[in-house]
Amino acid sequence: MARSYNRANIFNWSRRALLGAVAIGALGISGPLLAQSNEPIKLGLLISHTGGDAISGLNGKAGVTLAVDEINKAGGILGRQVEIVAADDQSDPTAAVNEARRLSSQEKVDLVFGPQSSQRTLAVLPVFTDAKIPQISTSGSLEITPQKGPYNFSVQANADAQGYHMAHYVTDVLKAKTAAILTDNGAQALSGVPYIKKYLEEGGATVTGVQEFPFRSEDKTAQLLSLKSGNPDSLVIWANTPEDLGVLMNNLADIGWDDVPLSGPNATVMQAASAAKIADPNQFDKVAGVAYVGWTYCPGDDMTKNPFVEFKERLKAANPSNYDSLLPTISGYAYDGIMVMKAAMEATGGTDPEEIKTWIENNADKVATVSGPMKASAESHFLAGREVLTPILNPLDVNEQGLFKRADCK
Amino acid sequence: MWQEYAIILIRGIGLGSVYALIAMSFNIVKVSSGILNFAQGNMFVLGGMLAYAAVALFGQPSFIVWLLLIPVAAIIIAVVLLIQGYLTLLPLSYSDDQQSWLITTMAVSIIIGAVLLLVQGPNALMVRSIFPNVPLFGMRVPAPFLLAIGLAVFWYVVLQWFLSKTLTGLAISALWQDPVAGRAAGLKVRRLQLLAFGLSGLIIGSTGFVAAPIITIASDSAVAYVLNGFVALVIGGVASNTGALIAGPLVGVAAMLATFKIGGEFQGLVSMLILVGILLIRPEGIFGSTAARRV
Amino acid sequence: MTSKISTGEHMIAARPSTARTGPSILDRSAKIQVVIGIAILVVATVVPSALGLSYWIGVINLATIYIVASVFMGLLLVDAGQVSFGHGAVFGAAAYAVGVACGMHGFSFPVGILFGVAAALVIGILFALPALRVQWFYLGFVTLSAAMVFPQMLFAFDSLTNGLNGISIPFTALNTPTAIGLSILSILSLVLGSLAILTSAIFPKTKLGRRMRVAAASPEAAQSLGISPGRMRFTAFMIASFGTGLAGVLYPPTVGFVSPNAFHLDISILFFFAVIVGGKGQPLGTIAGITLLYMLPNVFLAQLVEYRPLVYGLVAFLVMLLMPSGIIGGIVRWLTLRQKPQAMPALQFSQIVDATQSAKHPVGDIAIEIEGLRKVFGNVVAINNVSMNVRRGEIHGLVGANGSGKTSLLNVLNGFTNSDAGSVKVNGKEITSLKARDVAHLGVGRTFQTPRILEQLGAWDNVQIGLDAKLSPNPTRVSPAFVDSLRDTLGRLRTESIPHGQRRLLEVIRVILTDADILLLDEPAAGLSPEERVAFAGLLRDLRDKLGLTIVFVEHDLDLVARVADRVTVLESGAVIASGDVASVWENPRVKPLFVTVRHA
Repeated sequence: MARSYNRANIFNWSRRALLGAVAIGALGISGPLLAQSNEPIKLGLLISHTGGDAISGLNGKAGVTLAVDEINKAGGILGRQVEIVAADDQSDPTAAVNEARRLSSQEKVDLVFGPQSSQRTLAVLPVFTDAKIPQISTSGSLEITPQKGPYNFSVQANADAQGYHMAHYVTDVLKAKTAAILTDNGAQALSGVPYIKKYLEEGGATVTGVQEFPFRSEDKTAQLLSLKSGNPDSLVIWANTPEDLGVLMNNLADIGWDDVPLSGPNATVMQAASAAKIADPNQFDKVAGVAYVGWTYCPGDDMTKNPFVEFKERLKAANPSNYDSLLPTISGYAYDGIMVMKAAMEATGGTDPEEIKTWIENNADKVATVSGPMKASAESHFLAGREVLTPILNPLDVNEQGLFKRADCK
Repeated sequence: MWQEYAIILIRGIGLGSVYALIAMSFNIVKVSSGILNFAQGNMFVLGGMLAYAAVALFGQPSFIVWLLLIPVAAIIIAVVLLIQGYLTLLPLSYSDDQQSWLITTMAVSIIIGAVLLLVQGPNALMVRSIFPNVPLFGMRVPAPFLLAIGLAVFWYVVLQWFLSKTLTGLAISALWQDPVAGRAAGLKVRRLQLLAFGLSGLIIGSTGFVAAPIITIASDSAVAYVLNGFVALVIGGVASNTGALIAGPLVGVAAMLATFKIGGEFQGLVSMLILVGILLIRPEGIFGSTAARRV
Repeated sequence: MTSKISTGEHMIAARPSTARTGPSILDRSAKIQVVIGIAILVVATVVPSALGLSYWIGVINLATIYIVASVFMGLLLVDAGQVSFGHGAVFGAAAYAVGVACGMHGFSFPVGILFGVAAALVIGILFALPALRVQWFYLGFVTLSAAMVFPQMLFAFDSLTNGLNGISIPFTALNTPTAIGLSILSILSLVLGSLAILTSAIFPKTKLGRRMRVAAASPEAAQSLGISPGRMRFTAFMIASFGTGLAGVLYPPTVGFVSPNAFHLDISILFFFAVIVGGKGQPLGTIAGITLLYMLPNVFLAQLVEYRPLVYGLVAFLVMLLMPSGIIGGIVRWLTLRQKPQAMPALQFSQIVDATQSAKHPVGDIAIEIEGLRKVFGNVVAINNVSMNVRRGEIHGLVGANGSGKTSLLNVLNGFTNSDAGSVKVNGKEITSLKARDVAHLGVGRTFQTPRILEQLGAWDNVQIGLDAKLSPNPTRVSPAFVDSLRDTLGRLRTESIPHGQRRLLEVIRVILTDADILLLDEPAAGLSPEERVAFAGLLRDLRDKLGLTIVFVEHDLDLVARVADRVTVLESGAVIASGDVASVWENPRVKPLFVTVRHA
């Protein structure tokens, strides 16, 4: 048995070696051909230029554009320039599907960035899977699996990972026994709620109430008063716009509940500075958020050549007029997504979707990224897992380079 | 416990006063020309943008400067509305199809939203109130909520006086009663209708300016205000400013109470049920006039 | 004062009645439009499939589905006068039902269709119920808020709908090309699209279509013709929901995915815009509307990306500014305005009744018997203890000063208003608790002080609705030759061009065509020239003598009353002050002084 097993192995090995030799030979022939081809690589930018998610679109576009400019200046990918083909999903799944079809069958793009929300990513997944187009999306729903979208990778922290850190901050750091949850009624926040609840309960905390407010609503007093009546030790919040976060902070102060500790997602870290334009900055010392490791520092870290800081400088140079309206955090992971794709194409020598997929699954952590170390596997295509995230306290407490201080610094 | 209800009541009335003001600005145009201006929400947001511009220009303006800036903002928006009104009324004068306004006003709303998105981007503008918060029942209320209540009462009084005591106002009221007879009686109908557009601009411009710190000033936030204004208008009864003054706060308080007692996710449903319920009991709204005899 | 409510506030356009060439049920313009419309759909469906352009196949299928939904939204808006800003919810419900049935529970697509149409009808009923009570933009806002709440409810019931994440369904078989090169889905959308265009042209020419238009334009005219406006509205919502539901069920196979975010307000607004920008009531209208508002910004100018909403808004704005009746409406209007408007030839009353074909009448000498009738509006006593009767086969004049209660009395007689006390028997049957349309079914027809010749209907259609309301299957008592010549004359006319005086007569003819044996005429001769009055008097006598009709008419022209009436009742402040044959009433000392005021009223 053992012998035959070994022989089979040897046979397999030799067959693989032979196949490999053939493949290398083929590459040897096709490689130079590819390199000689001056056909640009077409990158479909399928994001929300208009509609309710246009803020994500704005920031995603800035990151992708910067990445493509840098790539092209450095000679392109495999000697080919990258050309962006813009498409607007209008924050609407129907339009997303139509534009996905246009990109795949009319424009014949080689890869795609977007969409930037799970609802639209799930809608276009069949289109890009059928067309075998590698895709970087920023979507956090766990329904997006490698089975449904083998060529899709997400650079956004998923609902599970964010919920994990938000809940663990409450149970581990605050050691709170009770918590209330307040979210906006956007898809991202609502899909996070089940995970927040799950990890809170696993950590031994009771959820005293759950409330939601309409996106960009003027007043959250009623929600807060109703949650306050449950008398929780802590409040988990998920507000995706700075206006909502600012109003929420103000309303907490209005009803005299500004002493409650808050735990928020990525968005809280990103939006705090804008929110403080209308809210009292002092209130934020009770606010925690979840950050990508790349955005953070601990005192004593070597701050020279910090990738995220340098990225922000380049982003500012590329967008001198509207840098203030950008969120470098979102642009940053969009940038990372393109860089991961570039590395995969260079390593595999082309745009073959199967090879790119396998390469990213095995080698994503070798790519130099600005948001933090990315990683994927055959089981998960979320490049930003739990490990790349870290809780921070007080998102206004940044160093002179604009990095957030980690909550777990010694 | 009662303090919580008191605070909800006051904030609900404050926010509802904004809806009431939007409804009143609808009313005056509706009365004069039968037009419901769907772009009114954008005009409201533009008013808020002027407040943002004022802060950008004057830093945090003093009370006096701020007070003087209200009419300036109102007049700027009134001019914008005059232009829109002129264009909206244009096809009505040469076509026997009198419903083109429905599309043109919605289209203007889409155009303004699209231009704001291109110029200003998708982010919202945020304005900090120049007034301190007002302490009430052991809690505090931002001043713009109370200022909105005051502004609603102010415009209500002005409108009631204008429509019942001045010749021009009476002429506009007459157009609502019977546009054909009004024309026959020699009223300069188009001019009166334009005036109404301008007046609605004064109302909505001042409202946007005053309420700027508590509203969302963004390219796509107009729809929500149009809808809340319409709900107040329909519940109060079209053409009735008294109805608007009462229905606006009613909607505001009901939405907040529903959120407080049932949950924020049902806010939309509760508002709709109130709307349907009131319409089923009183199809013309609370203060709407009942239909004239048809035969 | 009255017309504002009945017509001005409704979203219905005059269906342009262009010249007729033959006895076909469609006029030339509609025929041409249907042919062009179906040709466009066929070419747009076949060409991308032949060339294998998968993107275009998807886009055309989706646009066709949108056209179908807009056609039925247009039917609701233009034919039934019902404003729905929430039609996207009907569409979305059908799509979601298919998604849930096929995507989550594994049913086959045909079963999904059943679920989808059923779901659309449920939303249709939810919309129709408030429509029975509220109208115009009140209804618009009820439906609009329902459409706003719809996606929220899809979120809220996520165990049923898979909530935020939506449902992905491949439907590969439907999208695979068949032997003829088109996929089953393309064939389905093409057939549905063509049927929808055909429906939009034919429906207004059907009896149901005409009745719906009457109910929308003038509920009171509808009731007087025995039509229930509520039932018409309900029917309209059901038809519209059915058609929109069929469009909605094709959405999941076309897009491959359903998600709550796909059925926001925007899609309702798109359907509404498409109908009006394309041209209300034009068969080609929705094709033009969807092409301009959907295809242009989303497909032809897709590369414009963030400028797309600006294009969308500007197109809609400019079209309405330059062509207030929409693209196709504007073109048709321009073409018909170049034709010389036809003047209406005078109607020859003498031909209306050519032979004595007296129909069977209910037995009994008394047609209407009124006993102690009383009606109070607020503080005003409109009808004060009126007792009188109208004999069968007589012409009965109702006279009195303005505000003396004549029209109020007519309104009670045909069931528009319920009396506060007293009894009214028509053909021996108590009617005080009946609705107007039930009174109409008893054989009571009426005309109005402001004639209800509706510009929302073609000229001939305005008369034909009388035939539609015919009470008995017998051939009409009016001379067929006259009906034919009238059809021929009116078929060439635009309703707007009918002079006011003639409108009253057309209304009278309409009522006669219903086979009613009691006619209530409200100032039928107002606006007629002296010669026409003489002819009209002859007509009334013919109706009485040859057809045996009973006629009650309100009239200010006392000479006319004296000439034709058998008996007269004089009202003052809601009370009868004299009743009897003309000669005796005229001599009544209480009546005499009134004449002076009446004549000058």
